[in-house]
Amino acid sequence: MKKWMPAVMLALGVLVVSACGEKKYEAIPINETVDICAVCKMQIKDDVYATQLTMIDGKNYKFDDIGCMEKWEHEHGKEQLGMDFVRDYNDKTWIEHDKATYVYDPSIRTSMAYGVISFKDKKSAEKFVADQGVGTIMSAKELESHDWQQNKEMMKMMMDEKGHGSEGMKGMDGKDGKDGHHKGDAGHK
Amino acid sequence: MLLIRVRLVFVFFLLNLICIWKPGTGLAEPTPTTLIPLQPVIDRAQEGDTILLSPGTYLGPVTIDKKISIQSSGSVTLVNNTQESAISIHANGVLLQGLNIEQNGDGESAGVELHANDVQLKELVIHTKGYGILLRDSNRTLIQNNRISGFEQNIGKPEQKGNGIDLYNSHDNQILGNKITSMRDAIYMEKGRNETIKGNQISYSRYAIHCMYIDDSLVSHNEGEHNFTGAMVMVVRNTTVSDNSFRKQNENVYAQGMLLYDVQKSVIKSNVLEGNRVGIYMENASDNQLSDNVLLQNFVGIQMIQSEQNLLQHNAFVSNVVDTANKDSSNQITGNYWDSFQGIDITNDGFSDISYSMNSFYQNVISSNAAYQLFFQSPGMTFLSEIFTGDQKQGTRDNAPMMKMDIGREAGHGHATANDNRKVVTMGVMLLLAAISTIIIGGIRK
Amino acid sequence: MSDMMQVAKREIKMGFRNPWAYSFLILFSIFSLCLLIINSQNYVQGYSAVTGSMLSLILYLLPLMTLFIGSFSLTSEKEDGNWQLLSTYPLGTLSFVAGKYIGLMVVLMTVVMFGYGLMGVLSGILGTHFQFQTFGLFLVFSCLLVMLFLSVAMIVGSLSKNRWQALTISVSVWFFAVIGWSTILLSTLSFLPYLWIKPTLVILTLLNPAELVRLFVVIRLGGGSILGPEYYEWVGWIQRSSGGWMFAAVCMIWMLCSLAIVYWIWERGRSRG
Repeated sequence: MKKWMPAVMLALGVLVVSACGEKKYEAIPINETVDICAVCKMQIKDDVYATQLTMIDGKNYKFDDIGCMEKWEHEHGKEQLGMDFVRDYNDKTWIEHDKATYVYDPSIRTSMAYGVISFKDKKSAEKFVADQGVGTIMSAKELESHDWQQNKEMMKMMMDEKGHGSEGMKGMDGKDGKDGHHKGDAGHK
Repeated sequence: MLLIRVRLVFVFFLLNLICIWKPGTGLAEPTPTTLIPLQPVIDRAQEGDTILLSPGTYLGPVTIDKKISIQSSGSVTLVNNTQESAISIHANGVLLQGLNIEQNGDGESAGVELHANDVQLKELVIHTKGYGILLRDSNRTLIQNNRISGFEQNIGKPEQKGNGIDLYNSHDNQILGNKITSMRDAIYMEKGRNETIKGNQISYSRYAIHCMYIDDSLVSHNEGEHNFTGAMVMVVRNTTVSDNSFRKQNENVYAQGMLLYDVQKSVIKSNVLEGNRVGIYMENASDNQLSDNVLLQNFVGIQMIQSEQNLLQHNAFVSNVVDTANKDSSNQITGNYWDSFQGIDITNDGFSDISYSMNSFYQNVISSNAAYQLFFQSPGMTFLSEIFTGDQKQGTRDNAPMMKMDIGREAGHGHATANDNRKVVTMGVMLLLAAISTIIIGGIRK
Repeated sequence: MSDMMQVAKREIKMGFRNPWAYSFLILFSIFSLCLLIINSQNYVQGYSAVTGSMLSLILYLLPLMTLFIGSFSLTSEKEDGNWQLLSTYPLGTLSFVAGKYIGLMVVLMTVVMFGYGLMGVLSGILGTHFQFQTFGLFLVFSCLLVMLFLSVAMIVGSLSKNRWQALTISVSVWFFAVIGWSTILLSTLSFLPYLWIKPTLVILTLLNPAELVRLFVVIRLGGGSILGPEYYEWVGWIQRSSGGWMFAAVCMIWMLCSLAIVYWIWERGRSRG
């Protein structure tokens, strides 16, 4: 037993050194095999909708939707929060939650249908909205007052209006067919 | 003996020659190099026509924009090497039956893509690098007896493939008797009502059946094996999940037979969950009725997190390493069979008069730090849990456990064979002989 | 080398004349029989309630048995004055220690083999559905436990002056490693910062033969996924066929290190006379 002690001490010593090294919070890469959303328990795809937060003590939680992270922060409070990260919609880089620009539209498909996506700067967010023709741009501050509605029945009204005739379907095809495939649509499946 | 075998081989050889030489035996198929473009065939057809494809290999992609039926009179294969879906359907009432579809496009492309109502897809065999069948705003579809499989690449990494059947914003669909293997989510449904998912067989996929925002639906008589999770039921109301069996979902660190997240007012009945990491995992689920389920040989039988007012009645928990692992849950649990519990039935009504207490100690420990999962069933841990069983509040005990199991007797089928038994006995004899001779030679003989 | 074999042979002979060995043999046989009867209705395969409780029960009994027999054998050498006599001969301490270890190992393995032999034969008679692979794994598991705890027992025996002291230390080592392990760790690790807990836990687990072997068997039985996301890479390694060899190497290192400690203690005792 005595013999173990130096080894244990040494290991602890190494840990102390390595632990002191990281003062800055950094995003951890998503591991699709073992990472699940801390809120909804779904496996996280390494895509633009993934988010994560690190607590002050180093504990890391990952989420599959900005809305899930928002829910978690709401339930657990932000006192122990070190840093939270979201991803840029175009190049998947991790950005600090408060420095990102957000776009919300019920027609944007995200993992848990909260319909909010994030951009590293306002310009790319504006470009997205211009390209898609829909979407409300929000800063992190404005996002705080967002109501985080999950869009469970977004097409219900449209469906009822359209009826079931082939004419109605044609109209729909134009919007949802190959060319008009909404960009957000391609995301989570 | 040798002579006979040689002669047999010779006869076999002769038979082969005859088969090859015989002209017009139906064995002759068009060589794969002659790919017949299918789109012109469809373009020539009139609204309401039935196209009977003669055996052969056809080339996609095709778009169907009128109500027609496409059937096969033999082995028909449609090959598609583009990044579009092999068949896109934009007209209501289309029927596809008995085709083989080889979808070599990956990503978001699919074997069959639907943007129409009242379509029937029957007996298709879809082999795809992307998705199998996509439904977008398509209602009253019948998808029956199809086979969908992914390519063998990325074995053990189903998360990098497409979904087998991917339904979005579509209602009143029926998905019956399909066999799906090696996909990401075998049946993925998002936003829909009145879906019927019945009698499908699913294996080696990520989630066998994945429901998101699906209400008033029926998931029954499906079978899942070796998936990450059998049924992933999320944000669902008024749905029945019954008579399914999910087995051997224990590879992934989050594998489970069934996961119920934010499920309300639903019925989970008569399912068999065997050999999974967790039999049933519930979180934020309330007002559901779980009955007549058999939870057999799972590492953890049922796990309930922040779930309230569910009724757990008449389920059987047999040979699970741990029956329950609960946290912050208060449910009505009564009349279940727990094989790990020895009850006393004084009143002789078939139910124990002492209650069965469940332990949440381990679950609380690991929720503080997942690293402590190393202590799962460590001998000391079981000891410690016993100590903490004392302070149990209501809702974490079965008030009247069933004394004898009356359901699911047929559920357990082990794989230990007679051959295994013989080997164990032989090994036993050998060990005994070795031990006795060691004692005699080493200890007793001078 | 021949000295070592002489010591080993003597140890085996003494071992089989020692009533302790037989009482443990009977105890272990009865115990394995009970396991069999309890489980006669079940399929014994994979990681389930049956194999889980078998694991726990074997973890209770075998280390204790090994610690007693191993440490007593060493203290009796001191108590009976044999060591004083032997150390006057030109007998190397290494030969003595290794011979002791091999001899004791043979005795203990015989007990284990007898128990499992009985279990195997009777499972045929009772018609228990025992999967061969599972049976083999449990045999290996028990042998590993004996092997590792025997090296601990040798340390205990070397440090103790007499049988009573050996008994006390043995029981406390057993309690610490098997029963109290998770309790003690849970309470002490909670003082560490979050990020240190997992690595510390892993290092400590490597130092506890009971946990080390238990986890190996749980993973080999197919229960690795229950250990959660923190260890899935390890589980992957151990499940592969090379994992067995890797684990064997870890056990060898473990054994050699503790035997080196034993050697050092005896050598020191010898030089001080």
